[in-house]
Amino acid sequence: MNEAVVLDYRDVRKNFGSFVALNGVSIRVHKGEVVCLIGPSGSGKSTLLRCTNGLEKLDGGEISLDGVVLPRSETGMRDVRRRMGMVFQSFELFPHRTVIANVMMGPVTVLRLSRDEARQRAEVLLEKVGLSEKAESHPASLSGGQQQRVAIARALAMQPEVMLFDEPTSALDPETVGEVLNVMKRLADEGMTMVVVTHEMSFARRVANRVVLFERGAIVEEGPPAQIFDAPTVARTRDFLGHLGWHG
Amino acid sequence: MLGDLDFSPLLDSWRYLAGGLGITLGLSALTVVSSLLLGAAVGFARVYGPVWVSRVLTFYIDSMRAIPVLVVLVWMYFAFPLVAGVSLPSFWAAWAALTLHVAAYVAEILRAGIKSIRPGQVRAALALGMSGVQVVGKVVLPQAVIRMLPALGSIVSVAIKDSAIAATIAVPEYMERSQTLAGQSFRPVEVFTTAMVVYFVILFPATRAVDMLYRRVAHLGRS
Repeated sequence: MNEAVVLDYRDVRKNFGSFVALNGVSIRVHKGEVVCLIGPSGSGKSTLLRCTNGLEKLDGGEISLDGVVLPRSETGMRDVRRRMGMVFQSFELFPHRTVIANVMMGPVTVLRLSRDEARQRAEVLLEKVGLSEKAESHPASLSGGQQQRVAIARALAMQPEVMLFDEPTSALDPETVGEVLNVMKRLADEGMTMVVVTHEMSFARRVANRVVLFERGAIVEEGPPAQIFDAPTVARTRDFLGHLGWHG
Repeated sequence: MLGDLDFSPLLDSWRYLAGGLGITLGLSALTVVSSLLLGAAVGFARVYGPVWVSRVLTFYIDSMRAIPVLVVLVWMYFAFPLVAGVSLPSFWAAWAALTLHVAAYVAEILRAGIKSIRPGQVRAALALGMSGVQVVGKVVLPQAVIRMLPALGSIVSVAIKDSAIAATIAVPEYMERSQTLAGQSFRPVEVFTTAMVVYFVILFPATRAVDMLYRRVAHLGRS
């Protein structure tokens, strides 16, 4: 891949008390690339995402965005966060605001866009995730899959350079997983740089440029999906995929 | 016995009682406003302030929960002047005591409301690039206030009802005047039954209204 490096993780370390969550992780994410992080629960995938936009502080190593090392200070991280969109497992839409107000929230409060501009931007994005008709509804009246699509639109409203997905379909009913994955697939096709923590192996296989398998805060194996899923070079990878019922 | 009821002393003295009711409502309104303000300040400082501030405020809140409001009131009126060298008129002594007492509960309600908002909401707001003040003001507080409505409604009605103990330091409010009238007219049944009805008529619709409001907006506070 010749594209520029967007995210560069160098020897990233994070402890929670005596628990080592990340034990020296290095990954490079290039522009337009989709990197899927897979692995057992507690292996450090989500922690790495949270470290990326400063929701957790690093204990060692560094992360660069577009070649610039991320600041450690909270105020410094605020400027960085608006360049990264984040989607959470539990959606985290703001329940006291309508769907469109949720999408407008970032542009209005953080980017200081006028309400008209923000609304236009939000309408385009709701159209894109197929939820224009829900603009004036409150999140509580939406299905999980719809809420997660709104959450994606909310993140995109900041026009981020990279999107971080933290198990975006793990809290969904099986029948609504597909609609969220389709939105993510389309986003990937448009060239969005994405880091996706997921247990959806078929999505990883179909959409990822690169799959990274985590265990105990370290990388077990990384490579293109074809390698990871069909010809893993590490026994542990075969093991993990076997447990998930993956058979090539 | 019931045939002997005579409400005429109440009718004869209605201006006297109405004046007392005015003072009750004034004292209540002032207490509600000041205890909401003080309680909000204390609650915020306890949640977001430095550790030592939080410790001091926790002690204040625990004391107010442990001491009967009547004791605070009597202390404020009889002891405070000796300690501080300034004596408060009875109305303002009652206002200060009620405010100190009720604000402690308001602070606890606010703290519980803020703490009930799950951390993921804060993370989502931070991830958009919001500042700490924006996160609290636009995401945490609006939801917390909705969740606090039932408890706030109760504490407001407690504040209004507790204003009646100002009678013990001779604030000429509704209860004090009822006592006076009952003594003069020898009609305690009529006078105090009327007092019950008056308090009920004021507070019942208010608590119902808060309850209805809450039921209409509760879903907005559920994340």
